[in-house]
Amino acid sequence: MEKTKKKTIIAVSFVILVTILLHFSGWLSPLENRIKNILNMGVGYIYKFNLNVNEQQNQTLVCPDLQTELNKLKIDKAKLAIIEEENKQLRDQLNFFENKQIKHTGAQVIGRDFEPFSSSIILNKGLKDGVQEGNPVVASGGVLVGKIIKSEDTTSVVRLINDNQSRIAGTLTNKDTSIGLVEGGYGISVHMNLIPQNETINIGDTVITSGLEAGIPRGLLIGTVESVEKEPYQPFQKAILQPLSNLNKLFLVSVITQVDED
Amino acid sequence: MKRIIKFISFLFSTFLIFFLHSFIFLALPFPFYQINLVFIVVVLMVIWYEAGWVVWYAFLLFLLLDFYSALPFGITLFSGTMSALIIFYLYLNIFTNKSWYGVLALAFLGLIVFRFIYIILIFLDSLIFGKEFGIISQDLFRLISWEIFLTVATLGIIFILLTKFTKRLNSIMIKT
Repeated sequence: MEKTKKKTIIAVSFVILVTILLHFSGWLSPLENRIKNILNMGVGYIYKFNLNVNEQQNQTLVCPDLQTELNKLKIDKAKLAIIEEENKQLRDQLNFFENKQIKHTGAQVIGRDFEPFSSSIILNKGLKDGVQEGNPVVASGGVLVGKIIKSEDTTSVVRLINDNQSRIAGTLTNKDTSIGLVEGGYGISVHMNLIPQNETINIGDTVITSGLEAGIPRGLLIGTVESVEKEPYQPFQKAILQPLSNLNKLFLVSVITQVDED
Repeated sequence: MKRIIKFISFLFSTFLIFFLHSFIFLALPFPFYQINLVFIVVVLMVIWYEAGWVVWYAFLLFLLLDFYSALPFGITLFSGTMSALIIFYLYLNIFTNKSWYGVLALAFLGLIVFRFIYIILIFLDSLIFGKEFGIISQDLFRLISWEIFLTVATLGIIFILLTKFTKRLNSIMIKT
């Protein structure tokens, strides 16, 4: 019995290891892509459905007699609101990229990753569209939402700024132009660390990317300061940030694929 | 013909479970999106079928989940499949009586093993590839606790409901 157990454990481990090797060697890609295409359709639909439901929940009920009519109108209104929002986002993104030496590609959010301890989204653009690991991702108005951490042929994964593994070099727009590290906290919070104690931070100050990281241009908006944590015995102070983009309702984004350093 | 129908229903159920899991994750608010439906299905299938192929079915489900993971490929797959195998052995050797508390204990231990292997693999990944290991914190344990509590509670409700409709999960009906 013990021997059989050992053999089974070894067999299962072997199959998993072979699968992982086949994945990283790329031999599994054709099959993976086909399965993902099927899954993406369903996950994309669920993601969009969820956005639609959230939009409807924001509207209140007025007259019970006109329930059906009202529900239909609410659905239409929610659809219209989504289209309007998409339109606004696209216009904002176009305005942001105008007159800038930045190569970018527009992408649609087709889902989120299913890890409960991380905060990432999946885009419908990948290596074939020039999307590579480390590329910054912005929402409307040039608001940074995250960085590409995984890029495959037709899809890519974005680690959002509120993920606990996210680290982005940021600058405060205060008089000291303080530099710090913007970090996330399990999808719940975003904070800026490593700000020297002697520098002044005001509530409402804007945080932008510092440009110190390769591939991330200076000046992308990140968030505004909501509160400051300052302990006299600590060498650094910490600013709690309010992201400028709703990270739970992202639908259209742009991936910055190349930044002209001039 | 029977085999073809079985194969189609097998594929259909796999995709259905995956989409239901994604629906829970994408549509429910915190902390309810922490309910691990795939894990609930694996535990119920182990008890229902009492067969080793359930571990391979778990392999397939966790493989699909791994396609949607921001973590390096293989972490979810390995930790999920191994915990399914451990659940299967625990069921065959320790929690054999199909009682509701046995099922809950099985899910509880299985989830702990799952998250333990998961964290160890993330740690090894950061150690080997020189990445920052920033996952351990108070928040992580809070989230894991929510996941265990809600998954075990949901499984308990589903199990009790199932025992009302079928004798297969009844503790009197154990095969000897």
